[in-house]
Amino acid sequence: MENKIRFLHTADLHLGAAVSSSAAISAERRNEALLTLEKIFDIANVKDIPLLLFAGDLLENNSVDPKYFEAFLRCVSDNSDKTVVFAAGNHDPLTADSPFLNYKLPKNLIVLDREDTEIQLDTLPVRIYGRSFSSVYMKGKPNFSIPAKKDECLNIMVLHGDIGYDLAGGYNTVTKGFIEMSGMDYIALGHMHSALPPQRLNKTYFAYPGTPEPHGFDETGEKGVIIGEIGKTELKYEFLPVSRRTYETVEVDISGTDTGVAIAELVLSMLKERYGEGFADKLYKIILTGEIAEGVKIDTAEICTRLSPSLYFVKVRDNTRPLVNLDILKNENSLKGRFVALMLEKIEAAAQSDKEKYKNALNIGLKAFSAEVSYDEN
Amino acid sequence: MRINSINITAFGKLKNKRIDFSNGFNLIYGDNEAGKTHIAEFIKLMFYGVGNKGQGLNNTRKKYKPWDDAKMGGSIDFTHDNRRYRLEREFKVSQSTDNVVLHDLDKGTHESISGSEALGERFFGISLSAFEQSVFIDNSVAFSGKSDGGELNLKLANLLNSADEDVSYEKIVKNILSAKEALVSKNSKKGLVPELTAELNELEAEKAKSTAIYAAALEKEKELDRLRIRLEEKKQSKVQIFEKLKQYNSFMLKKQLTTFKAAKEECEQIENKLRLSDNTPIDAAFHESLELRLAALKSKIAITDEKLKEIEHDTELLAEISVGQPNSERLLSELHDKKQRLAGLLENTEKALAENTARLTLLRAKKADVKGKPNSALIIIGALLFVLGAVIGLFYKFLLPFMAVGIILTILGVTLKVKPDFSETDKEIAELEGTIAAKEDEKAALRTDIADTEQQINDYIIKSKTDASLLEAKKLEALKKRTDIVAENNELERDRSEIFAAISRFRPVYDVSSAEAALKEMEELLHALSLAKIKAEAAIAHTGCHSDAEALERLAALPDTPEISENRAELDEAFRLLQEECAELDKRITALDSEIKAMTSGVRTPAEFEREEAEKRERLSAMTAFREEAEIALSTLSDAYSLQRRSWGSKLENRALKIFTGLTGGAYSGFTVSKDFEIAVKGDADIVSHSAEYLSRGTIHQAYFALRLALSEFLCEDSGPLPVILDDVFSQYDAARTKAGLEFLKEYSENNQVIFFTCHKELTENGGADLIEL
Repeated sequence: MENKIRFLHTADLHLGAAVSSSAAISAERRNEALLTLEKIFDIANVKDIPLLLFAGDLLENNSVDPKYFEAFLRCVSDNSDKTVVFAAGNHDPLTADSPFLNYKLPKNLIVLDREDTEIQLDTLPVRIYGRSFSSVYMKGKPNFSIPAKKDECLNIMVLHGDIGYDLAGGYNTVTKGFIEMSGMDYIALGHMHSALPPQRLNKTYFAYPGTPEPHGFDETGEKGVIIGEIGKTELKYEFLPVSRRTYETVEVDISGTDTGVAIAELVLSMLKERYGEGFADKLYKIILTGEIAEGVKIDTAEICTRLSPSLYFVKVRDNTRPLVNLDILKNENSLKGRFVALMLEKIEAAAQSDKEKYKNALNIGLKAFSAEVSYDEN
Repeated sequence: MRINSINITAFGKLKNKRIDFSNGFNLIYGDNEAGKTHIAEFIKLMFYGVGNKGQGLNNTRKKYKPWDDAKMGGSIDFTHDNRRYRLEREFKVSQSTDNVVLHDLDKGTHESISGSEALGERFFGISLSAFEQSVFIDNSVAFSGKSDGGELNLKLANLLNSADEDVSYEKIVKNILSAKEALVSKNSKKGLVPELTAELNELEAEKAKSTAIYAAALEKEKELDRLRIRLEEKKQSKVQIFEKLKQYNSFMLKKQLTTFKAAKEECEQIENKLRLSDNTPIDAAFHESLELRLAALKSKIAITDEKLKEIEHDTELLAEISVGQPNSERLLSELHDKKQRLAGLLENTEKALAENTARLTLLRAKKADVKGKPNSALIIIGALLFVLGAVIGLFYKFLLPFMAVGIILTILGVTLKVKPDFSETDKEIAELEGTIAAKEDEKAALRTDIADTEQQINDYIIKSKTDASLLEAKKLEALKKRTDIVAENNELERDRSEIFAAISRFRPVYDVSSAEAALKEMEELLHALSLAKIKAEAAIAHTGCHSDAEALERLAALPDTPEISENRAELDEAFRLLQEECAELDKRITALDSEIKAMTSGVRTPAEFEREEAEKRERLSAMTAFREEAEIALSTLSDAYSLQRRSWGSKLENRALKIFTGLTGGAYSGFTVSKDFEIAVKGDADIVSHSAEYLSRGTIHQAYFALRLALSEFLCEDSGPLPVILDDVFSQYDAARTKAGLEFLKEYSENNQVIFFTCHKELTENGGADLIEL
């Protein structure tokens, strides 16, 4: 009967990392990341998963408050029936100051060495391969120096690195050739914060789970871990969301509304409709779009203030355009008409990649006819 | 385009109000509060809708909300491109939620229109702002209360430059520039962009610093790795040495325990020998006691023997003294003989001395009597030289001095006498003198000997008398000693018996010598036992065993261990050195470890900087894009402004002048706008133009009105004639100019529908207009 093993693959939790918002939220988010860590172990328990793979960047850096690492150790110790494998990443390299080298580690925690490593697990029909970051930068290798053994035992590699072509890159570039030649059954990768669902090259499956707890609006949407069952011929997996909160960038068309109250109401009703019950717990970047009547000034700060009591975190950006009929306006014998006509000509003549720029210039000009223009960076 | 009728369902205070308009000049009269402005606003709002912005009366939608809360709305019938339409609108909370329906009355169709769509743009062909700037002219400026005309002048300038009295080109430019300058100030030193750029530069510097620190730390990490490898090697060597030491220790333990066992067996053997006849073990105290007692016995025996010897000696001496009396007399006789012999010798010596002295005197006298003779040899030689010198000097005069030499030698021969040889005599004299001296010494010695001998004779005579009495006393004393020694000897015999009996319990002894031999054997056995015990103790000392039984048990349990070629000292030294090296490496590793930790402690990793850097770069990029877009807007605006000015120029002025002339009844022939947007008018009789600030309020308003009408024509050039909605625009005019104005509108209404609202009754009396009274 073919060997199969259930595993949980995660990476890039960045415990102790600051997030780009208010200090209070940043502190709370750091603590929430701890809850997410505990949730990951809870899931492993509930789903009876014997093998947990942490592909680096567990910590934001080796100097973060020890409580984060101690919490991790507690989780590992409390789950002594499970094997936890950790490969250090560029944020928490296995350097002298690494807590992984300065704490007494539980027996069920395997920390991969800085050199290419092969470890035969005692309790599972699995061999672990991989290596840890030895510094904040580490160059990739064209191939893994230890060939995978060809037997019934499952070969799983845990690695923190950047999929790419340039081996000179500083983040342990993992090339497709590396994956193809590895002979692994599964490569648990870390580094990319966006999930890359399992793919297969040659006989090897590989995946990035992405960060389980997002850190900014460049990490929007659901974040979670990969739960998989790997055999010699097949991988079954699911992506399980675990993040306490998500970052969402939402465009709201506010055409026809002209007051802060109305816009805030519209935004809230839209968020409720889109995200349902838990809508208030998310972190939002609201981009206001649509056409606004001339003379109506969108005060993003005011809208933010109105939304804040109802939402955990929100920032608002104004991308609206003045409500005008450009086809009518361009024929007007007025300064505005001529301006619009000239701008439309420029938009028409512009390269496709520049059209947006000219449209924005038109927008700025039109707004300037009736009100002060400001660069919106709320 | 023309408006045929309006039907107000509810709008502000107006309710169920219908008004039909003619195609020409519609003059709508009503007192104040009759609803004129309501109707004008209704028309505007029906076509363009209105937002929900502003508070109180500034919020148009709220301002015209029906007083009785009826549904706000109504309809307008109008003709556009010869087609009749009806526009129905029910005003809701916001423009986007208004119900708007457009009926095509000719076709009998209708369409729902989004509340947000400005239908005015479709039918008037102009935007709301253009509508408000052209065909919809109210009296707000006229009633603004400004007296200096500055505001109006500004509006006129705006109209000329932007075709919107509320839009100032400068203001638009300023609006954009202020946004740009918020990002980068004029001097490029302030603003969000320089701030962000500075933050980015700082971040890059910090990142470079962090990269350098981590690179340096990496080098130290490599050194740390090398040290750790060395430490591991040393530890392995230490383990090997330790294993050897263990083997060595095991071997030595076995050896020690074996030695211990042998020593213990030896002890047992000796202890078996060290037993009395009744099997009582002998210990050192027992031996010492016997030894002391034997020594004491020996000492007593020695003393007794000594005393016996002394007694015997005394006895012998006394006997000797007793038998020595005749010898004393013989000795005295011998001393007398000696004295006589010495006297004889003295006499002979004195006689020989006298003889020698006489001989010496004789020899000295003989020597003194002998005198010297002339030196004949010298005399002869001197004479010969004299003769030869005289003879030869006859022939050879130079030889004459030889004669003098001969004379001198002859004199010397006579003067210097030659004495006889006394060496033998002198020798003899010396010998005699020595012999005499020796004889003198001998004589003195003999005399001393004689004196000594006489003294001895005297002493001896005295001593002989004393010795006789002493002899008697000593004889008595010797007798007493003999009695004492007999008693001591008896006691001694008892001791001897006891001691010998005690020693005989170990070995049978018969005399002191055999007793000593037995004790010696006992002592040797005790010593051997002691040595064996020490050996056993030494053997067990470092084995960790706490009892003999444990030691023997361990020995029995120990396997056979091969002998180690290295010696313990070498192994210990090697182990010690390795320990020192390991400790030193440990120390260096700890120090380096701490150094690396200190280097990187609290230092953010380059990757952390990269995230922040990316965010800031994204912001900077957005700002730069905004600035570029604002610049495009400004540049285009500038182009638009130039075009506007070029295309309008005197054309607008000419049209405004024509209207202005009509309004003023030909009072003015010139109408100009300066580069500074100053309005100036010139009367027929004037040589120069008058700036607006010097004109009456009424004239300014007429100029404004003229410009608005001219502008509406320009703005609506492509849309065809549009209805002009005028709300009491003649309120500032005097009677003559009002009349002229009305005349002008009559003429103007031939081409454009005019909807004129007024509260001035007298205007209704001029005729020429379709009067509608509210």
